[in-house]
Amino acid sequence: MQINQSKEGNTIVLQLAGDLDASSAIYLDEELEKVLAMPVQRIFIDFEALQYISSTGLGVFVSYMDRLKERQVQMVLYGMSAKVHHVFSILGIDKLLTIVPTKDAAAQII
Amino acid sequence: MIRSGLLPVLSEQLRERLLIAWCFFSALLFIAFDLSRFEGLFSQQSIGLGNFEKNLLLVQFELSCFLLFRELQHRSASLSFLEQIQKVFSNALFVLLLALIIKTFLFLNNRGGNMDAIHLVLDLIFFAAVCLFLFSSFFTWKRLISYQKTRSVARFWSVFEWMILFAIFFQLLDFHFFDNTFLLAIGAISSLGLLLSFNLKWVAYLNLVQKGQSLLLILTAAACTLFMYSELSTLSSTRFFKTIDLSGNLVVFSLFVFFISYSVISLLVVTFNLPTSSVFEQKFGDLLLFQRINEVIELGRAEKEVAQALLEGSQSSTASDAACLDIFSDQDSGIHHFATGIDEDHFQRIKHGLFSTTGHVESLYFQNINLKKILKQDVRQGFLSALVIPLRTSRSDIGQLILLKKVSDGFEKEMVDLVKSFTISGAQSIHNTRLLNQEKEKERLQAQMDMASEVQKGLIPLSSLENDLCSVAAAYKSALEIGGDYFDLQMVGENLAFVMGDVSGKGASAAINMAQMKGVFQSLILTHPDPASFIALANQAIGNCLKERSFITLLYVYLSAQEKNFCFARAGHCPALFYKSRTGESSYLNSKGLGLGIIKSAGFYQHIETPTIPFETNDLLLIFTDGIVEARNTLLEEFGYERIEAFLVKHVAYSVQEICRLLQEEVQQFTGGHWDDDYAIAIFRFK
Repeated sequence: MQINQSKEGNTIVLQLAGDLDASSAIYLDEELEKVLAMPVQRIFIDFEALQYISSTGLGVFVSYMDRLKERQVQMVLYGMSAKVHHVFSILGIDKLLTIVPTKDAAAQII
Repeated sequence: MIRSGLLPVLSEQLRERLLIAWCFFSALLFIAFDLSRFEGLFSQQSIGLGNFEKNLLLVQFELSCFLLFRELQHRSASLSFLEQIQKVFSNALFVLLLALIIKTFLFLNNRGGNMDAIHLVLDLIFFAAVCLFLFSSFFTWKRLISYQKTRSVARFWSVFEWMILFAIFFQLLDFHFFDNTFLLAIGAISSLGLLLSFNLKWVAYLNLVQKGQSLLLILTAAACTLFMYSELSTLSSTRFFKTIDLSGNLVVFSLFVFFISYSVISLLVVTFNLPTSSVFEQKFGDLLLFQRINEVIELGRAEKEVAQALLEGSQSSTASDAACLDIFSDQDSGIHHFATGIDEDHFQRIKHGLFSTTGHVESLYFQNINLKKILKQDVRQGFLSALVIPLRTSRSDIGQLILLKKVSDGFEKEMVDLVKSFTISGAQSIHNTRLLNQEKEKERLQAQMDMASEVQKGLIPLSSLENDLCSVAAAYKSALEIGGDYFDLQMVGENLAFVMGDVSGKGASAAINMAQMKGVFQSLILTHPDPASFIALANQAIGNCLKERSFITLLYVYLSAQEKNFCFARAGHCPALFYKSRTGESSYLNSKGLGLGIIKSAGFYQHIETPTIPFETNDLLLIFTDGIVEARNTLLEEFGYERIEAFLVKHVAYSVQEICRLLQEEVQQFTGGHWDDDYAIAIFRFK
C-alpha cells in the first residue's frame, strides 16, 4: 500500500493506494499517529485509489475514532468504491465515520 | 623400531612377569656360574666352561634388563618430568647405598679365606644393580628425549636402541677397550647419544622451582653414577679375576657415557633456562587462563562468569593495572560493567575522555594508546597507556574490553594478540549463552502456546450437533496456535442459542478476548437470551475488557422451537446466508449492526437491529467469519460473498457435515494453499 500525505490549508490529506490489509494496516496507523502529532483540524482520507480493505484495515479507523473526537479533529473519508464501502457498512462504522462520495463533498463539510 | 614384536601374543602383564623372572634368573645364573668358575679355579678343576659361556650369560642378563625396562617404560607415562627425574635420582641413590653397604660389609669382614667368594658375589650383585639402574635410566631419558619428538628424533632414537642392542651382543666377540673396532663402536654410539641428548624440550615446561629441583636431582644422580663407574672400573682393574671386565663391556660403557652426557647437557640447559623461567611461567599462566575461559565456555556458564574470567584473564596476562569490561545487553540498551583495579566513576571518566576526543571508537581498537597525549592529568590519574578491544561475534560487537597500565607504551603486540584471542573466545561464549537462553525462552513460550492452544480447543464446542430442532456442523481453525475466532452454542430449554465472533487482531490478546467472550455468552444466555438484550449487555461486558483499539464482531442467533423461527443480532459480523428450501432462494441477512466495543456507551443499542426470520424444514443457515470472505487467491481476489452463496446453492443437497468440509476445501483450492487466516464456519439445517 502507498500513502501520500499532502497539506491543504489546515487540512491534511492522506491518499491511500493499493491494498489496506493486515500487513499494511500498520503503515496507516503510523501515518495517522504522525498526523495527529501535528496541529491539524481536518484530516481527509482519499480512498480513490484504494483497491481493497480488510477487517484489520478497518481496525485502524476504529482505533482512532475516540482520539479524533477528543482532539476535535474532523476526519472525512471519501472516494470509496462500493466494495470498500461495503466492508465499512458490515462492521457498522459507516454510521460513525463521516463518509462522503467525493472530495468536493468533503470540502463542503464544515 | 623393536616394537613389542617380541612375545607379542602374550598379554602385557604376563610379558612383564616373564621378563622379570628371566632377568632375575639370568642374574642368579650369572652369579652362580662365576662362583663356580671361581671355586673351580681354586680347586684346580676345570669344569670346561670358559669366557665365551660367561659372556653368553652376561649378554642374556643384559638383554633381559633391556627388554624388561623397554616393557616397563609405558608405566611411567603418567609421571611428570620432575617425577621421572626423581625416579632416576632415587634409583641412583639406592645403588649408591648398596655400594656403600657392600663396602662397609667387606671392610668389616676383611679376613681373607672364604670371604673372597662372598666378595665376588657381592661385587656381582653390585654390578647387576648398576646394570638395572643404567637400563632403567636409559628408558627414562628416552621419555624425556621423546617429549614432543619430531620424526627424525624418533628415527634416531630407534637407531640408537638398535645400537644398544647390538652393543649387548658385541661382548660375545670378546673385543677389548683398545681394539679399534671397540673404539669405533663406542664412538658411534656415544656420538649418536650425544646428538640425541640435545632434545630437552621438557625443560621449558618446568617452572623456576621445578628447574631448581631438577638441577639438584640430576646433579646428584650424575655424581652417584660417576661414583658407580669409578667403583666398577676399580673392581675390573684390581680384581685378579676379571669377572667384571668393564673395558670389554661395550653396552655398560655406552650407557654410562650416554647417561652422563644427557645429564650434563640437561644441567647446562636447565641452568641457562633459569633466568627465562618467568617468561615461560607467564606463557603457561596464559595457557591456563585460556583453558579456564574455554571451560567456562563449554559449560555454558552465565554471562557474568564468562565476563569475570575474561576480565581477570586479560588483566593478569597483560599485567595491566586496571581492566574494565562493558557488555552490551541483548535485551535493552543497557550495559553491564565489570571492573578490577579501578572504581566505576574513574573508569567512566577515562572512557568518556578516550571516546570523546577520538570521535570514532573503532579507530582505537587494538591500538597501544598513549593516554598522555589524549587525556589530561586529572582524568588519567596515573594511567599512561590503554588498550581497547571489542568483543566481537560474527553478528555484532557485544561489548568492549579496556585495559589500563601505569607505564607508557605498555601493550606489546603479542599481548594484544593474546587478549584478542581471549575476547574472541569470551564473546563467542557470551553469544552462545545468549542464543541458548533465547532458545530456551522460545521453547518455554512454545510450551505455553501449546497449552493455550489446548485450552482454547476446549472452549470450542463439538463440531456437529443433531437434535429435534436442527442439525449443525461447524469448523474452526486458527492461523497461529491460538486465534480470535469463536463460536459457541447452547440449548436454552428447547431453544438454541448460537454465537459466532471474531476478535480483531490475532494471537494471544485476541485469544484472551475470545475466552472472555465465551464467558460472557455462557452467562448472558441464562438470563437474557433474547438477541436485543444479549447484544447490548455483551457490548457493555466485553467493551470493558477490550483494549482501546480492538473490537469484536459478533453474530448471535436464537432459535425458537415453538415459533419455528430465529431471531438474530449482527454486531458488525459478516451477515449470515439463509437458504429457503421451498423456493430455492438464498439471501444474506443484512441488518443494521455495529461491532462490540466500538461504542461503549448505552447508545450502542440504536445501532442494532434484531430481525426475526421464520424457517421451514430443510432451510439452511450458513454463518462464517471474515476469514472465509477475505481469503484471497494469487491474483489478490477475495473469495467474497458471491462465491459463498454460489457454493451453498450448489451444495444444498449435501449433509451439513459435507457442506462444511467442502466449503473449506473450496476456499483452500481458491487460495492455492495460501489460506492462513483464522476462520470459523457453522451451518444449520432446520427440521
